[in-house]
Amino acid sequence: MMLEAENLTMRFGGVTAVDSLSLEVPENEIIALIGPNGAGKTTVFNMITGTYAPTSGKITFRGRDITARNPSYIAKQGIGRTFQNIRLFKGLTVFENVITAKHLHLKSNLFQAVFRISGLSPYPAEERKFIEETESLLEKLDLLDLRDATSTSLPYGKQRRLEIARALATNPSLLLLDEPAAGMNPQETIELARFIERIRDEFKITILLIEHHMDLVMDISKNIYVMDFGVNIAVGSPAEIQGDRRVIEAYLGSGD
Amino acid sequence: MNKKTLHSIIAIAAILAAAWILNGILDSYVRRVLNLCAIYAIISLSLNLVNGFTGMFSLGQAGFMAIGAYTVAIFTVPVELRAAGFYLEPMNPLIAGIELPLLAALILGGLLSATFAFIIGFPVLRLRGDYLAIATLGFSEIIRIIFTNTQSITNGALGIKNVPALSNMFFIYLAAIITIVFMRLLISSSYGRAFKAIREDEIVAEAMGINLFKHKIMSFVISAFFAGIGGGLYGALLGTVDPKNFMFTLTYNFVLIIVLGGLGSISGTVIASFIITIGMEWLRFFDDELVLFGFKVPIFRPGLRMVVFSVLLMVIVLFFQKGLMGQKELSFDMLRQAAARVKGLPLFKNGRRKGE
Repeated sequence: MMLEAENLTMRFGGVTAVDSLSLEVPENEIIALIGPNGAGKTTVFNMITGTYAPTSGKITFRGRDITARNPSYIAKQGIGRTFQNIRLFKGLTVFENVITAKHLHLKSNLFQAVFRISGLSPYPAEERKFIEETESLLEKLDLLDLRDATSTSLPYGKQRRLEIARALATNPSLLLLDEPAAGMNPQETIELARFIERIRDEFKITILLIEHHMDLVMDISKNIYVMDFGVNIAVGSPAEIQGDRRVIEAYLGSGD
Repeated sequence: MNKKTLHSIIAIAAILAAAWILNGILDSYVRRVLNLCAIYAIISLSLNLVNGFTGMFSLGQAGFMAIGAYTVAIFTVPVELRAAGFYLEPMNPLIAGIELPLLAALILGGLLSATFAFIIGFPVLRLRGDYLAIATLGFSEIIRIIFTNTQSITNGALGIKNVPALSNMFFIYLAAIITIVFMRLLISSSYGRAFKAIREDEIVAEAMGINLFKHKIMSFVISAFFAGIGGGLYGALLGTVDPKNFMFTLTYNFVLIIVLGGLGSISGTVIASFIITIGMEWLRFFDDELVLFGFKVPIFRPGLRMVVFSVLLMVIVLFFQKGLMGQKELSFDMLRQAAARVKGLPLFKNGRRKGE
């Protein structure tokens, strides 16, 4: 199992944002987390990535307990993420955005990086490797022609893609996508579905995604977790979820 | 070696040669102003590393400078001249007999300043924004007050006189160039990218595996090291070091410089250091009495210079928020493009324009 969460609970004062959620993400699959607005989906992501320390519960990633660890430690263990509202490094170019995410693999210390004389310091070789990897990543994601453009000058869809590229640059084994299709039209959503499957196969990663576009979720997910008011109300394959009465009620309200 | 590196080396050699030659030609006043420009550039670069590149609002530079300046003052005054200065209370015997060459004292000052930054970094760097600014400003004042009260080491409010005066342009410009090159190499390395990532978005930087605290400490300590070196040079240039030199208002000069030059631009900082320092000297006529047509203009009196400077700062903040350079760097390509643009102006065009 790539990621396991047991009885995760997150309370903010008197509000229980997530109530004993248990989650299993098997390797090389696409798992979706859905639910109406305010259900606590992003809070789950923030607990997995260490941004929030859960009030109680346990998170295990590839057999290692990562509960409430520092976000940078968790990123180093191999969890990458994107954000609900695109959060690129605004002043930096496309290339810089992606290569910055390579920093966690750097072995040279600061002095080796500053006094980078080939032969004496390992840094130039590392930097060359970073540049090659970044360029090949940009090429795979069709962003290479925009290499030197400022990140915020990109059209919306490309910005989303760049955010995914930046997350992939950390070489994650688990990628968390927070509403990757937000603001996309149906055609773009279909393309995104193929794109997500492609990166799963090409980079051999596992994907956990939050999404509101049901077509996308039903199309690509192996398993779906449905949350409502912090509680996990249903788990199952897309077909099972589509027929689940509680899920329909959560989204549309009950008949009475 | 690529072409750019070669160009840079030629430029550095040219500047150092010019500094060496000018050192023999210029009179002591001009030399002093130019030396001050270079020293201000060192300190402003150190402040820009933290404020402009790492995005932390720190105002502690005067304190770090004081550590460097006092280290230089304490250890470079000739042993036989010390008793004359320390007449209220004799110098602590542990240090009274130690005399160091300027270079060693400078480096020691930088290291002490960096050590101090490392220690206060643990509590202080957990703060953000205005809170960080106030905490660093507070520590800078604490340093000054400690130095005012450690009579047997720093001679308290009397200050230390007879610091062997430094006026060698070559030496000071060499120090400035080392700082510029170090900063340039640091910023263009993976660590520099990590600093910028923290500046742009801390949460994302952390999610990309950048350890916030470790990198903030690094940036803060390096900044303090160079502020210590700059402070040491400043002390040696003045020839006397006393606590009043290191009031927190000193830091504002450097804030002004990095805002004018562009937060996050090394070349902008250097250019602004020269503009501000020379400007401060040139605007001195505002402080003198001015008589126009036999009429004495009443506002021309000591202090007007600072009013003019404040107005300039407000104009910059209102109309040129990105400063001279923004986050860009001056490069040979940029100069070439600028030259091409000048040549492209109608004034320089040989052929007749359409319709004429």
